[in-house]
This record gives sequence, C-alpha cells and structure tokens, in this order.
Amino acid sequence: MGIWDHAVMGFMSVFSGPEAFSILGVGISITLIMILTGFLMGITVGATPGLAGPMAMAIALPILISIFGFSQDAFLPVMGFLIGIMKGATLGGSVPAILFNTPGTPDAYMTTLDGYPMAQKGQAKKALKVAHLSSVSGDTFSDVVLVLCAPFLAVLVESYLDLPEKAALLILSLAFIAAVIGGSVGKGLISMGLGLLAAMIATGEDFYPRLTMGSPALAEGFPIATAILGVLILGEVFKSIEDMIRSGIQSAPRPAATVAGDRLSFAEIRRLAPHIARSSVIGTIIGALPGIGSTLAATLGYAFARARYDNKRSASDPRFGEGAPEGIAATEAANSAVSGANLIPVLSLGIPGNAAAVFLILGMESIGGFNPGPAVFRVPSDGFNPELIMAFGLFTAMFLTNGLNWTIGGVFMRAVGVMARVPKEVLLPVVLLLTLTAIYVQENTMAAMWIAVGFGVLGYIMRRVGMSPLPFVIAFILGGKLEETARQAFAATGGDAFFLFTHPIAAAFMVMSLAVIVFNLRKPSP
Amino acid sequence: MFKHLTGDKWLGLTAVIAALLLIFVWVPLDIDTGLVEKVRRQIRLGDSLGPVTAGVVILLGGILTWMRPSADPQSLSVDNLKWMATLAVTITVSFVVMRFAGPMVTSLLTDTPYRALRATPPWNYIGYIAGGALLVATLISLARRKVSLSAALVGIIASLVFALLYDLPFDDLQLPPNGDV
Amino acid sequence: MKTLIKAAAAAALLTASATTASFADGHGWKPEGPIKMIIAFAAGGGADTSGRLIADEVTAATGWDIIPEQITGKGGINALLALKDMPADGTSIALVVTESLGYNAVAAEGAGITPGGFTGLTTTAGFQMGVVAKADKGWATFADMIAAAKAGEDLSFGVMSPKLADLAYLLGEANGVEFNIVSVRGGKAVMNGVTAGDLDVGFMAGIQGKGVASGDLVNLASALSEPLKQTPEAPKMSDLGVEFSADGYFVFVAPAGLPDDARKALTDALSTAANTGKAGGMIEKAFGGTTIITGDDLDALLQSDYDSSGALMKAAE
Repeated sequence: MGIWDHAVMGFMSVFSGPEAFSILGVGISITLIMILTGFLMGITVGATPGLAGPMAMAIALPILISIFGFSQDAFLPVMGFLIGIMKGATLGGSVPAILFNTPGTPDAYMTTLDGYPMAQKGQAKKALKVAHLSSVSGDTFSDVVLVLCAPFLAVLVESYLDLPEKAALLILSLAFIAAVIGGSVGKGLISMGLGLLAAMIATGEDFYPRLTMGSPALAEGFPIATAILGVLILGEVFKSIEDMIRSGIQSAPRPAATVAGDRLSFAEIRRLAPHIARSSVIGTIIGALPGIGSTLAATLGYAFARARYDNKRSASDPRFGEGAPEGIAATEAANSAVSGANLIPVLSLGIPGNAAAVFLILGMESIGGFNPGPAVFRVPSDGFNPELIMAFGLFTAMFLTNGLNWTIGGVFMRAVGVMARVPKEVLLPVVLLLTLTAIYVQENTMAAMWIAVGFGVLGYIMRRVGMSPLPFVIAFILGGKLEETARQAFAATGGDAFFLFTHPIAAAFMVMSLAVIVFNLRKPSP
Repeated sequence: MFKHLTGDKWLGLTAVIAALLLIFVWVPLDIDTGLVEKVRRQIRLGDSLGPVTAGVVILLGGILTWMRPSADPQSLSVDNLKWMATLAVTITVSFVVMRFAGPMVTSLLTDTPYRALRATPPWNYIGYIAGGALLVATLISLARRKVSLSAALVGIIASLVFALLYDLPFDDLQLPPNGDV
Repeated sequence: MKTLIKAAAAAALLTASATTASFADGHGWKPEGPIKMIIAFAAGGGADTSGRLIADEVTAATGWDIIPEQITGKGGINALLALKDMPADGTSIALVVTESLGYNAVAAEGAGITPGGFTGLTTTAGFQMGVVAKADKGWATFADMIAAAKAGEDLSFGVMSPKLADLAYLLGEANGVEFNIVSVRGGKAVMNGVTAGDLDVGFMAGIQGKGVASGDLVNLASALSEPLKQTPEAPKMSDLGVEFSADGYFVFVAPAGLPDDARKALTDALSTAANTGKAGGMIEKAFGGTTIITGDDLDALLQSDYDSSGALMKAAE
C-alpha cells in the first residue's frame, strides 16, 4: 500500500474508533469526544494562572493510561486529548492576560502588553477576537508545515543516518538544549548532566542494577513519568506555595472593564494579516528547533512586529504597549505556531523540543505500538505500516482540533475569564494530591510517591538557583536512548572507539555541538 | 573565605565536588563493569561509561558556572531550607497516615486482615482519604497562615472525589497504599 | 458496635466471593483477597497484552479478582525478586520467561534466584525464534549470509538478551565468521534495526511473522531445537553446529511453598484461560498458538534450563 492509503486509513481511524455513543444512528468515536474534551479543558487550564498546558498534560497522562490501557486502541483517544490540551492552553493563556493583566501561561506575557491596555479602553472583546484569530492562524500554519516536513525529514534520516550518526545527532540535540534554554550555559549543562545521571540509575547491561547502592526500591530505575512529574509539577507547586506564604495571597484580580467592545472589521483583519503571517513563520521555525520554546517565539514575533509597525504607523494609531491589536496578533500567532512545528523533531527523530512535547513523547512511549522516530514513516512494499496510519491519525486529530479552535474556540475562550479567580492556595495543594495519586495508580507503590517528592525537591532547588529544569527532563528521556545507541554503534562498527568522529556526518554533528556551546558562551549574559 | 562567594559560585563549586565524587567514588564502588569490558572476545562499552559521561557534563557545567556567574545570582536562603523542612514533615506525616491508617482501623474493628480487604470499600479508602485530606488541609492552612474548617473540608472533598474517580470506574486500579500491603 | 462492623466486613467479603462460590465448590480453593499478577514485560507489548487478557479470562471464568502490575527490567530478575518475598498463598503470581529462571538467574549471581525459590504454574506460549534478515540483503539461506561474511562483509547481529548474544557468538564461531553482536532492548528493536538497515541480521521471537509472510524479511535459520512453523526448511541450531538452542516459553510462577490445592487451581485456571476467548486468539496470532507445560514437566524444564545455562556461558567465554 502506498502513502495515500495510509493517509486515508489514518483519517478514517479517528472517526471509526470505538464508539462513545451515537446520534441518529451515526456513531461518534471516542477519539472525537476526547479531542473535544481535551481542547475545552486546555482552554480552561490555560486561562487559570498557576496551571499551564504541560502541567495538565502531565496529570492527565497517567489518568488516561489508566482509563484506556496500553493497547493500540488507546493511542488516538489519549494523544487526541493531549493535543487538545496543548492547543487549547495556548489559546486560553491569552484570556487572563487580556482581561486581568495576568498571563495564564508564561508565553502569554507579551500579550498583556497590548491586550490589557485594549481591555482598559473597553475593547476587551475585540482584543480576545484578535488573539483568537492570530492564535488559530499560527497554529494551523504550523500544522501544515509539520505534515509536509516530518515525513520528508524522517526519510532523510532513515537513508543517511546509521547508528554512529544517530548517536551524534542525539548529542547535538542535547548540547543545543543545554546551551539555549535558560540564561546560563553552565547551569544548562549541570541540569542536563543530572538528567543523564538519573537516566543511568539501575539501567545498563550488567545484571547488577548500577548506582542503586543495593536498594531494591531503585532496582527498576526511576519511573520516567514519576521523575518528570516530580521535577516539573511538584517542584513548581512547592515553589508557588512558598511564594504565597512569603508574600501573602493576592486577592482575585478585578476585570479592567466589562467584556464588551468593538467588532473586528475586515479591513482590520487585512491590516493584521502581515503580522500574523510573519509571526507564524517565526513561531514555526523556532518550534522546529528543540529546546527554544514558545516564550522566545512570542518575544521575537513581538519585536519584529514592533519594528515594522513603528515605521508605518500613522499618528492616530496606538503605539505598541498602548493597546495596538497588532501587538496581540504578533505575539499570539508566534507562540501558537510553535505547537505544531515542535512535533517535527518528535515524530521524525523521537527528540522532544519542549515541555509539551515531552509529554507527547511519554504518551507515545507508554502506549504500545508507536515508537516515535524515523521508522514511523516507512512505507512497506507489501501490507501496511500501523505506525504510519497512527501518525496520520495524529495529524487528523490536530486538524480536527484546529477546526474546533476556529469554530467554538473563540466563544469558549470568552467564557473562561472566570478561571482567573480560582484561589491558587486551594488549587495547588489539590493538584499536588492529584499528581501523587496519578503516580500511585500507575506504579502501585508508595516508594514511587517518595521518589516523586524527591524529584519535586530537586525541581524546587533548581528553580530557586535559577536553573531551568527542562534540560534535566529532556536529558532524562534521551539519556537511555543515547547510551543504547552509543553501545550499538560501538558494537556495530566492530569496536571503533572513535565512531563519533570517523563518519563524516557524525563528525559534523559533533563539531556543531561544540560550536553551539561555545557560541552561547561568548554571547554576553543577559 | 566563603563570604565572597555569590550564589552561582557556590552552585558551581557544589557541582564540581559532586561530579568528582560521582566519577571517582560512586561509580567505581557501585558499578560492576568498567568503562569498557571484554565479553565473548569482543570489546563493548561497560556500564560505567554512561554515568562517567554524565559526571563530566556536570563537571563542565560546574566549572563554567563558577567561571561565569550571572549578574544577578539567585541562591537558596535559610528561609528556603526552613520551608523544605516544613514540607518534608508535612509530607512524611501525611504519607505515614496514608500507609497505616487503613490497617490500624481494620485491626481495631475486625478480625479480617487488611490485605484481604484492600479492594473492599469502605476499608480501602480509609488511608487514602485520611492522608490525602491531611496533606491538602495542612498546605492550605500554611499558605493562608491560619487553620480553618474550610481547609479541612477542601482536603476531605478533594481526596474523596479522587478516590471515587479512580476506584468506581476501574477495577484494576489501586489507591495508595493498597498496592503495598 | 464492634461486632456490627465485624459482621459488615465479613458480609462484604462474602459478597465479593459469592460469584466465585460455584467454581470454588468444584476446586476447593479460592484466593484470599485479590491476586497480584506481576508482569515482567513493558506495558503495551505482546507479552503484557497476553498476560492482561489471560487475567480477564480467569476473572470471567472464576470471579477471582486479578490486579496486573508491571515490574520490568533485568530480563525478569526484578519481577522474580519482588515475587520471591510475597506470600505463597496464591495471591501473588508473576508472568516471566523460562530464560528469567534459567540463564538470567545464573548470570545474575548476586540476586539469589533459583528455580527452587519458585513454584511453576504453567507456560502459555513458546517463542518462534528465528535468525532473520531483510529480504533485500539478497540472502535466501543461512549459507548465503555466511558466504557474504567470509567474502569480507562486516555483519552486525542484533540480539535482545545475554543468552541470545552467547548463541549468536557460538553461531558465528561454528561457521568460521565473527559477527559484531549488538544488544538492543526487546524484539521490536531488533526488527526496527534490521528493517532500517542498522543491523544486518537478528534474532526475532515471532514478531517477524508478518514481514516474512509478505516477503520483506527472511527466516535464515531456526534458533530452536526444532524447525520453525513458518519456515520449516530453514536449518536448526543443531544443523549449524551449535548444541544449544533458544527454546523458551512465557511462564507463570508463584513463590516457593505454594500449597498443592492452590497450585492446581491456579494452574488450571491460567492454562484454561490461555486457550480461551480473546486471550487464546491473541496468543494464536502473536506467538503461533499456546504451549501448555505444567506440573512435574514444568519443574523439570525449569531445572534443566537452569542447569544447562552454565554450560552455554562456558562455551561462549
């Protein structure tokens, strides 16, 4: 079967999965329900300051696995839900940013700059509409690029990269992530080294589980989800509760104005269009590179747009920072365009680029039958490749979510402004309990809860000393793979100790790794 | 001498020491095979190579952080450590209650061992709800700096809702601590 | 008050076991509380799925409450270590492979795992282990591959356990070539490596079925003591000059000291379930059908696997 048959089967698999219920005799597949639920939940979570998309994905994943199990049937419902959250949260983050001057998610910070002034001028509804239009446009563009690029890249990787090159590529990705995330290369490397170390505990070829000091609780190694939930969620919860104890609880924000205002005219949309287009491209490029993430995309999109806008601005238009719709458009298009493109390295290489991608990879790896990497896009000479069908199912789910986003996203986002009033001091302890419970249900032992708390303390300390936990998480996920690939490359080359340097492409990747570190060291620290 | 050390210098120093301990003490003592080993007359990479690589990365990071501390360094304060201690006590007490409340209540009230009742309501909820409610209520009270009935209520409701959420629809799932007994 | 609650607890237990009453009458044994089923394989894979389906069938037939749980790693040693100290009353069982109690138990010297520490219940399925290459390598037989190696081509050989690494080594030695032996995690990884061209040849334990049928993959040899069902003409290990084989089965075990009535009831329930309904269908599809070995035969099989492992290790040294 050719690639087209796979695409059609993937498309169909989203609609024909196990039925949730039927309307007028037409079955509605459980996947569709999960996509919708995930999307609405994502908007809600994004609109809640203190919760972010990746956090909700992290808590949802063990629960989803408990519900749907590990079989291939679970793939689309679970991944559809996660993708729904990811996309919804990006949109939802702009709501409190515009209404209350509090970004719901970190990447929505730039949205406050023009969104809140617009709301103060009584144009809240218009600001939300601009945010919605730009966010959906950026997101959709990014998904199109994903569908066009990921298979192509995967085929390239498959035909040109053998084991030594694959090992070198993993090293390059890690070097890039350590150097780029956070302000300091040194701290990025420490964080990454710790992640590699955590991945080494109890693994290895020998029957003695290494570095466990003989403790049976560690003999299986750190469960991946447990450690990551600990660092990313518990660490954040521990820090936020302490902040509340120190500086007191801030009272719920008051809306700047009633949610009412102007409509968005066609002429205005035409004026916004170039800003949306530019930011979509910026966001997509940034998203495709591992480790940089949506916050930088938003910053860059905003900066470029301001430069253009200041040149052409007429005297009556508001400046950037004083309520210019173009500012919102540039920010939201850029940070939303990250979400599709960050699946390019995930699907074609199995390398996660940011926190949301981490949980997508975890989801794929927990469920049997789908291993992100170049093998996904292989078209067999006879029969079919189930992974390729699943990949197309995933693409279909993404475009369905975009469809929901275009149609009901705008209406729903205007309804969730109220989430900014949920008291954080109640929310966070409940999130803590839910996370611990989700971990227990997966691992069935109190030891896992202790391990999660231990990693939570690590995540807390990292945040306090200004070290990003993301290199830790990504190195933890890739560490095992890196060691395995290196072992295999060493064995397959017949024990060539310099396999990373004797193959030209591998050597090029190694040089690039070094360059990326050195370049970022020379950059003046901010 | 340490007075002049800013947060980042401390961090770099700690990382360097930890990396050296890892490479020269922990790895040799706690791993059976070396950097490379000979099996079936072929050389293969040993179990020590990965951890040593991790150690070298930490070491490099430590040196760079020491040499190039950032302009506005952040560091752990004494207050942070106090909060860690408070948190550790809260979590430990809650986990202990979670683990042992069920078996204790069961042994007081019935002759059946808890292990046999670990999938039978209401016995299987006792530990989870007691420990979970305690955890949530304590943290809310700490954040609000006052103990209140509403905090306790939130804790009980939250743990009850989660318990039912997992236990009612799914036969195979176990709440804490029922997989341990 | 206290008596009332006692009565309530007793009543709850009775209700829970009421469904099992008819079955229990026939066999005289039922588990006290839920059964923990440890699965030594990664969640979502074929082995895991078969274990969970068997649990469902047992529950459907007997009403026993079974809770599957993953304990993976170290070729089943982690699962066996966890099982060893659990109560031997039929409420704890584990699904491993015979290799875990054989070669791996011997190789993991310090762990203290021996067949004597466990009670074998039943095997469920055997491996259809073949030596597999990609068809477009152009090798139709094992001899073609050896010829290519002798002509100077460096061949990498994918394996998924230390025992198989030893076998691959011996296979090379007996045929006068040296393979670059590459250990990967699980049969699926071997197949991916072979398909992607990272590996030239590898052991696959049944997963190759579809690829061989479609002509993408070739079974060059059987790694067993008997011919492969799918490719009966491929030579066996003994035909290729190796006196050891990769014969192995998925097997359910309980801790040592399991009472006889419990062993019988569990063995019956599990072996029946492996042949029934969804579980039976899945095992047929993924592993080419069930193979049930129980009782004294199973004890003898586990012990001989354990005893012969030392010889294999020595031969490959």
